[in-house]
Amino acid sequence: MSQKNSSPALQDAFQDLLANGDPLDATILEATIHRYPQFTTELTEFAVEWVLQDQLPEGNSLEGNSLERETPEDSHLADTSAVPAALDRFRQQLDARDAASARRHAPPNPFESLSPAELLDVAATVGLDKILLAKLRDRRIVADTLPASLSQDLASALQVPAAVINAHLAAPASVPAGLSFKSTGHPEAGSKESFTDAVQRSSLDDEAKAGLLTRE
Amino acid sequence: MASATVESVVPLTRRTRSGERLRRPARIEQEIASVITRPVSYLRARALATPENKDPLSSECLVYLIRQDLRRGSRRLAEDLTPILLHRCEASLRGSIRGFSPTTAREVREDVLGKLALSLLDQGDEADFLEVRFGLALKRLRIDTCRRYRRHDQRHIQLEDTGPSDGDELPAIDRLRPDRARQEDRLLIRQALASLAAPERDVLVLHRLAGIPLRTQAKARPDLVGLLGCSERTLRNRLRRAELRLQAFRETPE
Repeated sequence: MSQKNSSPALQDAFQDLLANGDPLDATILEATIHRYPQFTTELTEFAVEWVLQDQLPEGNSLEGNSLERETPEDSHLADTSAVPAALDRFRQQLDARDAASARRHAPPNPFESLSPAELLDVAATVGLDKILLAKLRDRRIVADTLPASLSQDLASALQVPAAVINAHLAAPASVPAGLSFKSTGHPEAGSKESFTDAVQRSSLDDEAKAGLLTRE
Repeated sequence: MASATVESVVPLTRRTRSGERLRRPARIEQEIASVITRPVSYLRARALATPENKDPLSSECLVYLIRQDLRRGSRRLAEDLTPILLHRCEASLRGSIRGFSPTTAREVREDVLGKLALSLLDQGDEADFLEVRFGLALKRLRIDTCRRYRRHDQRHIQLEDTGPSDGDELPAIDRLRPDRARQEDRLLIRQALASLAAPERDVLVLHRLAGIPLRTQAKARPDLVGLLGCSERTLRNRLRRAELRLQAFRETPE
């Protein structure tokens, strides 16, 4: 069943009908159809449903004698609250809104325009491996933990001001590039880690790691 | 000179057909103004109906607070108040979605609540009416959702037959009262109505239940000929087919 709402104009027509006469009044129905001739069918259906909803007995007194044979599981489901499911949809939309807002306000990604070969060149220039550079590209390293000298080296290699590097890392982590095409589930932005942790998890040898960790 | 920050109630922007801006009732405006600067914890406590809080915030006020929080790009207050509003609505919907099986009634309920929740997120003014007459807006949403379910699946209709015809020599269904319900009759009629095409059902319900005449000479009084744009003969044929279907179901042994 579609979850889509009717058009605003149609909702206005229903609102007019409801607001001007309760219970249903034939004169009001006629006047509303006259005002909204494009919705004659919908208004008639709405009026029919209104009458049914007003005049049918309350509750589900035919339970157990239903055309749809209900199993005990169905009955249990029917009694459960519908609020959690509605709230899930609400929160999903909120998350989508916030993610879209974050994307709109995110600073430009200085790594974005680089080809894979150029990325490898940058990594070699500043003494990082592919994993570390990917984490910097995807903003998965906490900005404050990146040594200032490394930030400056990165800025030089990418030919942007150091402030651009810092602003880039300060923005929320993004979904790693390419992941959306490989995952069977919904890709999620990775959480951030400190530069020290990222170096420890990198594929660099011990000497290179030590060199990075002593930078200021 | 220090000046206190005064937060005013944001006016609605949606306009009626006649071009007038929607306005909240004065009591709603006053209620919003009285709580608008209060902390989240206070608002949450005031939203819940408890033995200590016998006068919870109105649904119109909750909608205002939720929408304003979301418009500011925040979500803390909205996430606190929306579940309270939805639980309140669910309590009202539980007894008022009629003519569906229990499972379908729950689906309708979930659909209504979902649409309501999503409308709160709308950045425009489509949800403004929720701040004016929340109960009426919820009723509109409920009936519209039931209408859509009924249109997609007529198997769920439940009606009851209550007695003799009203003079048309056809079975009457125009005195629906739960206390007069005979379960077997209701099931039969429900089955019969489930097999009716929408045009036949519409005539049956509007004529027999809503009491709108098929045709009238009185110009001031609308009739189904005018409302449905069909000839009286067509309407009578549809009505007869519908009622014969009811009759057939009544006479068919189970």
